[in-house]
Amino acid sequence: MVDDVLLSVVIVSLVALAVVVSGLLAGYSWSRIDHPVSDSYSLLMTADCLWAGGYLVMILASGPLIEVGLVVKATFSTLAGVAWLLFVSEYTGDSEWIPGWVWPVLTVEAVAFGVLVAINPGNLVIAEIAVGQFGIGTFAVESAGVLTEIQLLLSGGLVVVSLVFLGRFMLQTSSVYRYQALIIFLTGLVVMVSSTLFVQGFRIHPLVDPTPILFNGQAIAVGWALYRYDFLQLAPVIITRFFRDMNDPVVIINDEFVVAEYNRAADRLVEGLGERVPLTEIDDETFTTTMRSTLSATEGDVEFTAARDDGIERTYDLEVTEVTDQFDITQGHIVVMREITERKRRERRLRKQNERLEEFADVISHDLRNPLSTAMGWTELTREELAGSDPDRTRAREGLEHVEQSHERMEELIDLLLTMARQGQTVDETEPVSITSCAESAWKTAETDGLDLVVETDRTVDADFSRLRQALENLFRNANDHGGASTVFVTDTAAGFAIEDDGNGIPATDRDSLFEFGYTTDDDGTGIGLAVVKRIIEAHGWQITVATREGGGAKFEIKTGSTGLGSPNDSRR
Amino acid sequence: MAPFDPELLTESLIVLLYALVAAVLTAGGALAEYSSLQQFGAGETTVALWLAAFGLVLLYAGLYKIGYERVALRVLEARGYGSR
Repeated sequence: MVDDVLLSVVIVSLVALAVVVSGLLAGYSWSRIDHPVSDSYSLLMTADCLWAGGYLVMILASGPLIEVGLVVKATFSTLAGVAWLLFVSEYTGDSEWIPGWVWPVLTVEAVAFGVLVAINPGNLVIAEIAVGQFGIGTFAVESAGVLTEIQLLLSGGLVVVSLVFLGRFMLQTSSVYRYQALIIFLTGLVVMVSSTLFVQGFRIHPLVDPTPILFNGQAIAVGWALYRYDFLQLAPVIITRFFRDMNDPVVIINDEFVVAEYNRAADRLVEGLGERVPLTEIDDETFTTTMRSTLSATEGDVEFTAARDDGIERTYDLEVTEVTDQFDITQGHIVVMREITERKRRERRLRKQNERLEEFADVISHDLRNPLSTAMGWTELTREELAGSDPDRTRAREGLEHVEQSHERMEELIDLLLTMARQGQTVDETEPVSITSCAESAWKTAETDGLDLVVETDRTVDADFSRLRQALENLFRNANDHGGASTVFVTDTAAGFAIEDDGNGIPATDRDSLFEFGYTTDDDGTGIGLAVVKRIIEAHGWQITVATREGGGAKFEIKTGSTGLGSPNDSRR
Repeated sequence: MAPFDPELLTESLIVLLYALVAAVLTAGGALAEYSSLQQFGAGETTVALWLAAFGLVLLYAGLYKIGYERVALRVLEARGYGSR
């Protein structure tokens, strides 16, 4: 029959083609092993190649070679099912949770089935091998025994699982991969259905098994989708997850100003964001206007401030990338929002600090200029006095004394400045310092008229005595100048010690900037004292915080942490 | 004790294998239905429907096509109920 001849030629050529193409693809994908999922695809192609090869032997050879072909075909068709599931699970990212032992178990099972086919105990695996004249030659085809049927159920189960993975991946991925996954899914479905029909006895010809051709055709189509379009520079699942989980909110807008894609961060940030929602219909008015101006503006620096779910205001810098097609026609825009809240905050803080520094410089120059002009004035007067015919020595000496005083005042101010600059340096050499003796020593020079000192700690700390003394002195002076206090206490705390007073305390609004350079609430103050304290404390590796004392008053807590030696009654010492 | 019958042994082995396949398919179906519920709870309705449909197919195959038609009927037949 002419039809039979034609059909048999077509079948033989298709099977031969399947062998060649899948063999080539196996080699090609192996050479591109750096490409994601290449390794499992290469395995799949190898199994497919041998599967079709086994079948080719069955339909071309005669005698005992038919059985050899059958064993090869049965073994590698089963392995192809395993490789297919491996490939799909790696493609969809499901391989992450599938335990590692699954793959060797399935492989061993497939090989065991191949052995069973070779032995065929009691014809349970292969019911019979039908050999008959078909077109140009003798074709052989097996009919499944009960064990083959069970094996087919298992292999079919693997394909079903792969279809579940692919379907879920397809539904969860909102990108180009959806279509790629759809192609893979559909080819999988076609093979599944046709294999079922073949096993159930629906055949295009009683002597033809079309499954190796179909499975190969499918795998080749998948390979074409993978490599020809090179969708997968990275496994899709990585790109999808990266896009979905990245911290920066990203919104992709198409050329009609409709939202095409957005990630989770964007979803959290912008109210009413949704796929295929036009920009104008988004609830978030600020976002809409910002986007509009960003997309129309030529300058790139647009900022957007919004409160996220947690209620904290954040500022974002919008970076817009134009997406063009191969004809350079704009297809849309990718808007990446980079959070700059912290940078903004730092900028503000820096600006304030600069302002204060300037004020401080003003204070210093003002304070220095006063004694300087005084000194200059007295120098002039003294010179005039001495230039006269009868200089009054006493008046001249008086004038020089004034000059001297002014110089002393200037020296003091310069010392203060130097202290300020030096105290920032770290402390190199420390010794055990008793807080009590250090506080008492500082008290003597702190000019605290009428105040009482009560020391309630016997703690010893590792410190530079003179610098700690300087810090305590400044704290005592601070209590004297600003506190309205009558007593200053040095007390013990869990993590160090504290300087407290029973004065008016420090308003909460002043606390943040209290330790900053040049900050003062007093017209006569220089704003240096507490800044120096903080520098000394931090140079020791300690921390200083300000709180309110029980019953009012200021409380400066110094946390010495592990650097302190603890109190002498500490049981470990 | 009945004499050793190799045919009976293979027959029971095959029923056992079928029972195993039925169990695996049924378990897979149940798992699919369970994760369908999870996905539904998470608001992924399409994925939930997808899993539910596949779960039903697996349950049909596991419980009816194999569990009932291949295993239960054979066992009943072997016990002599099927022939009457």
